[in-house]
Amino acid sequence: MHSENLNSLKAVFERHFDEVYGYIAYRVAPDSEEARDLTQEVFLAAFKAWGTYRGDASPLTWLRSIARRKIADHFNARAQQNSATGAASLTNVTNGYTDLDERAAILSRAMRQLPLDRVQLLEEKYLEGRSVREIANQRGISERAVESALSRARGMLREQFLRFQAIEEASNERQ
Amino acid sequence: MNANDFYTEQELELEFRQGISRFSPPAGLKDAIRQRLFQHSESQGNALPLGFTLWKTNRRELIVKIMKWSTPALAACAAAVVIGLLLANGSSNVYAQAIQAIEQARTVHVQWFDMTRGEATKCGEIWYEAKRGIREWTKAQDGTISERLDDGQFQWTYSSASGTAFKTKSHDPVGPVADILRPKPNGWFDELMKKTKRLRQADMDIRGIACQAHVAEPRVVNETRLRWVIWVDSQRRGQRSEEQRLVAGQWVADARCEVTYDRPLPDDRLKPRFGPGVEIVDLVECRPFNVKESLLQGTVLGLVVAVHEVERLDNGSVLLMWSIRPTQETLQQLGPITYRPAAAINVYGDAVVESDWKQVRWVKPMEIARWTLDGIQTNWTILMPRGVWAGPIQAIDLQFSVYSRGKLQQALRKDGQQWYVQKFRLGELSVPEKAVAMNKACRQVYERVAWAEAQCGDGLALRGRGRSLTEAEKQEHIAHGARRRELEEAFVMPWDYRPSRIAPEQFVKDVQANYERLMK
Repeated sequence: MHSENLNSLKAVFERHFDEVYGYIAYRVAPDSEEARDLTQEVFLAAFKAWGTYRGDASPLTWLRSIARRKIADHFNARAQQNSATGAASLTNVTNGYTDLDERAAILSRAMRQLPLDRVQLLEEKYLEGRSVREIANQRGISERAVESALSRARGMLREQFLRFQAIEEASNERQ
Repeated sequence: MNANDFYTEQELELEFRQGISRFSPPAGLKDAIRQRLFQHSESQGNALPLGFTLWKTNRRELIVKIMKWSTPALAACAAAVVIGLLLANGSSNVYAQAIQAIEQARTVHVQWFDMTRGEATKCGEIWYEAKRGIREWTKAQDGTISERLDDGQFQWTYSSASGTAFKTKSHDPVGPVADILRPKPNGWFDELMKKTKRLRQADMDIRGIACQAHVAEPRVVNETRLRWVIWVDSQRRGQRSEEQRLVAGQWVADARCEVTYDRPLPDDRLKPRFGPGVEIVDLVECRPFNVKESLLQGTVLGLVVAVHEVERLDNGSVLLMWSIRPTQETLQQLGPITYRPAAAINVYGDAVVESDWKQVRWVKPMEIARWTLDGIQTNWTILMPRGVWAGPIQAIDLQFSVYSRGKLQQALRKDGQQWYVQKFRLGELSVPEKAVAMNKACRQVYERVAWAEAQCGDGLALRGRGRSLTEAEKQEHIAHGARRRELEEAFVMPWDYRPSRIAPEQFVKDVQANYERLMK
């Protein structure tokens, strides 16, 4: 890697490491081996792809998009593994989220069930704070289409949220 | 917990942001990943300055590295050849004599070859003639040729990617050859050359000139032994250098640099000729655009949003040049963004022109160019009239969505303040009566951005021609839950062009095509 590129990536690493870890920990599980491994994978991928980063989005947004894909791949792989071993479990929704309240943990779990592009849309709107217009311009679709897609994504999230909430409540009652 | 108690939009926003800030990385994780990412690169990079030494054992990577060398790096390699031999002898007197000999050189011609494919492939060249100027070219990995010519009065930069050359005022008519003519003592090269010794068995005639060989102490990189050999003539001038690796007991050249002196250069070498069909865009008269005397200005979130120019286009739309930058208070509090190359990427905030499409009439923004430098982002945006207008646009009620970024955003969040503002009203902007042809206006935008590129080198972006999604891309989105109907409408406009990568006429055509597509 060219030294200038290396220096700029170093600056990005130093500046955004904590935020990237926080994002992964929130989406995966706090203080877990998975979160640590995925954080490393994200920066390794960023290191390899840094030459292709064009600055269209902020470095943090770019890193988050890598993290989003890595997390999706991670859960897809795990789902396949669970499916193969019959180990799938919907219990213990809030396990590991000792620092989060129960509701937030359920929301995080619900997010994992959404398709990648829905997660991306919700995060662009509510995490990055982008306007509907900006998202529409970026995606080359109408603002109405974005609003409609956002509405559907929120609906899917709500559906998953309520599902896990019911599971968690049932689990608490059993205990 | 109420089963119907789902998050409102505001709660969702708050939860997303707070959720992430709840978790800090465990102790040691950052250090461990930093070490894995950077230590390897640093140790190699520092040991081998200016790309002269090869540090990749993987052959393919080696080729990539060589082809990626920029022209200055190429010249530095040449400098290494020339300077290296001076110090090989270790005598300060010889050194002084050699410097004098080289300073007297009327011309210098440097050629750089990649040898990794079993034959010499030229990947860069420099011609220099005292008091006449310099011409240098290099080839990138993708085959793109970049060229610079400077005759002391004007400079021309050419890229085969755009087929366009830009003429500006002279920047440096000696360029990296200065390192050859007047090397800096006690620099990195001195350190390297302290380890050289005579290699008599490699002495040879080069272009009919008897040369002595000197070799630097072999180094082991990734279990491969590498060495650097330089051949010097009787005047102690470097004629050739090679980067060699040990393969099955034999030293094999991976890269070679050849330097000749005082040979007449071909007549056309220092003339601005770049091949048939190459357009030369004259930027000599371009000046820095004044972004201080703005037409409209407003401060929000510690940022200044300002509109500097407005033009009516002949198709009924409006072209804006506007900028966003940190206030003086923000700069005092957080410091300037000047660290390069991050200064060409990082900002304390950005913004988009807003217009409410739910109104009877509104404007649809189409960004066509932007320039980021030292935390100031300058944007060129075409506003297309939509809805029902009672005639040509006379004035626009300008609104922006403004977003703080980086340290500014962190500071605002830490203080519990809003970090972005939607529909920040800047004011009513009058549109001049006289219309300018859109093609002409776009060409001017291109020239100004090209000027900025010539001055700053990076931080520029031009919007390329938009396109629909490919079927493969659609399938990928569909697999993730997107609807085909939406994807059929999708129109992607890339931001990955800069003037040196696209010809002016192409840029104008692309903007026109995007405009027509978005106006449908």
